[in-house]
Amino acid sequence: MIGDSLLKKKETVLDKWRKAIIASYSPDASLFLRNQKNQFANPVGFTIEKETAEIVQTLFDGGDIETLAISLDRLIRIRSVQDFTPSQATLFLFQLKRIIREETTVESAEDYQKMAALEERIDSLALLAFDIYSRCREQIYDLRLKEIKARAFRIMKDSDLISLDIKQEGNSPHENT
Amino acid sequence: MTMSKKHPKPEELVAIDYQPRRRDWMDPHVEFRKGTFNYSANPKSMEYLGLPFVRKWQPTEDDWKLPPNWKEIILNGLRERIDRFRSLRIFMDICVRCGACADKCHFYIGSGDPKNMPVLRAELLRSVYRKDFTTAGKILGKLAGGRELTIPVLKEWFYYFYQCTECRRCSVFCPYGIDTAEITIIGRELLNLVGIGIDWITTPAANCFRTGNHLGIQPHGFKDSVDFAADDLEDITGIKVNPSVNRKGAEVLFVVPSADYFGDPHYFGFLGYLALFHEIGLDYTFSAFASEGGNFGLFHSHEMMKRLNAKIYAEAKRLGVKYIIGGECGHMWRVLHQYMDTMNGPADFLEVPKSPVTGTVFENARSTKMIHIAEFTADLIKHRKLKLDPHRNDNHRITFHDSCNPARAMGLLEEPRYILKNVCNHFYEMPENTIREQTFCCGSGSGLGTDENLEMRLRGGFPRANAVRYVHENHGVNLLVCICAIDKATLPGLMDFWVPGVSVGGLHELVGNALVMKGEKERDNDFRGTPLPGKEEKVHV
Ligand code: SF4
Ligand code: SF4
Repeated sequence: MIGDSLLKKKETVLDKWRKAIIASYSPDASLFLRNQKNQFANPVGFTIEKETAEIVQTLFDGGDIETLAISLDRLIRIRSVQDFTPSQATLFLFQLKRIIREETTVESAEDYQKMAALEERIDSLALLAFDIYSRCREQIYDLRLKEIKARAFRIMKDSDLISLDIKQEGNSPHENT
Repeated sequence: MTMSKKHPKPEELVAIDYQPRRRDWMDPHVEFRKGTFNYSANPKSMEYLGLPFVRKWQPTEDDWKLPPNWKEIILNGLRERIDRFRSLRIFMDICVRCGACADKCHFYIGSGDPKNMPVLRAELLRSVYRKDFTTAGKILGKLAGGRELTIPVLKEWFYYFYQCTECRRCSVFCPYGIDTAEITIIGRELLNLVGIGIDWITTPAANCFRTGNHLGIQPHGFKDSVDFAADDLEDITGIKVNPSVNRKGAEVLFVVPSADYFGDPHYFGFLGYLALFHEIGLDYTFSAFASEGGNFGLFHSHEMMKRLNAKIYAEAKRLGVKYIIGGECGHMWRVLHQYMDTMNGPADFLEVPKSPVTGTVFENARSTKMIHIAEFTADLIKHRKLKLDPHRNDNHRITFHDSCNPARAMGLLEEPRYILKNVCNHFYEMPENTIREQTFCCGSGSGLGTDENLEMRLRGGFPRANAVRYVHENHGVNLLVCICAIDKATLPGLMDFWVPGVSVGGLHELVGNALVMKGEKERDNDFRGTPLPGKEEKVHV
């Protein structure tokens, strides 16, 4: 359990963290991402709002961080298909650490220990985040293959159906250049 | 040297361009990141179609090897189209930038990239129009929102006109009815004038021109596929159906997208069509030449669309049928509904479609003479002409995805739902602002459904998937039903990524499962070979 002083800052931390995440998008999109509250009209903004709350709550309550795998997955899955590098996609956990540090004053040895423990928990989340990110990326490659196979579901069974002069070749730059 | 310079904070390290600069929308800039764009057209396919400026190039290369007078060609092309399509001039002139459309595009919602706002997508073309075609723009240039057509602008066109699925969701919200899809269509046409197109559209179009279908299947191959399906259906139902191909004098010509006889899960719906038509004794035939309802020409140019569509009426005429029924396809219906009649009609050699079973006359198809299979089947059910056992679909908890074209282009909203409610017991709608006219696109329509841009498609498909996730979590939905071949090809991957545990199926697959056929054997499996409810043990013994 984190100290009372930080507990009071929960809403501020959350708000700053969300702002930091939204700042990774174009400034022209940030109003929309923050203000459109309908979860179906703005699934990215909604996911950020919901899952960050979940994560901060669990961290501050001293809950089991393994329960946060789903929240992390939801956040990272989205970022894994947007224009982010792996480090940009997972940076938000390090930003959380920074924000918490900025919001707290460590006054006693006990505070210090609590803080260190909290940071360690965030570090564990960051490690989890890397795994999730790479799983998402691997899945994208698997899906590409799966789709190609499904498209030719029947051709697999009966391979001389297609005439050979213009198959769907050239659909890769290697064959095409 | 300060400490912070020696040890940059994580944010500093990563944030080199982490916080994107606020770019002026007029400043053209695109980065062709792997996974977000489509490969260029195969020169062989371009040659086959007689397209201009055949060459090898790729979007990632600096030099797109444009013809020297590319700019003139495009501006002339634009001028010609402004004169030809009154709607285009109006769309160019009347947008008041009210922003009502801005946050309605699935690509914008999923990516946060402002140039995916429909209003800015249209502005890509509009700015050039303003610069060269309006007096204010000619004099004031940038001040009047005009932009010089340059190579970076052209590259931006390519990037963003192939990030629009021509789904028309934005137009539903525009107070002036401006249809950004039409602007994208023109944008792509102009690019094609200088030999810039994508392979996933050009090669299927070339195949279609040559063999009648996107896959390049020749007539004997088509016949084999139909026979193959008839055999599969016999294994499941014990009933031998005899579909015919190229049979003159049949009452109905039945046209389906080619994925129906090749793709998974399309194929199971194809079995459903065969079962249904056999059961009601419909006098119908396939054509081995009009063996594709889909029309990738729509995603290329008006001319290409017309060329590829012509075969449908031509075959109907040659075979001497009375009218045409079309299968489950999306953009095929946009072409048939919106363009075919004026483009390749009038089909005055055909009759107004009339169901031989119920006597219903489909007045809505009075001019095209072609009806959607969902209309046909819904009418059969309404007149109680089918014996249905919805329990056979009890393993599925179902939701329905309105495919953009049937929903928005032809208003086919009630028929599929009516059919579903009669063939299954567990049907749940997704939230209101994600269905019917407001349906969210699969993110892969208009020729973008290929593998090299999967990342972009997963972004664009997120709003759809997010609504499916809601009914999955709240009602245990495990099957997403749709009536479009592109949806059936691309939604399975979208579900795997965003909502694991939901598979994708077609409407007539469920009709076929539920349909109790005269003289059928006791069915153990559904059309996918999965045990029917209550039959699990028997099969596993
Ligand atoms: S809603 Fe219509 S008028 Fe308003 S910005 Fe969009 S296209 Fe322009
Ligand atoms: S037509 Fe669809 S994809 Fe294109 S801009 Fe409009 S909403 Fe976006």
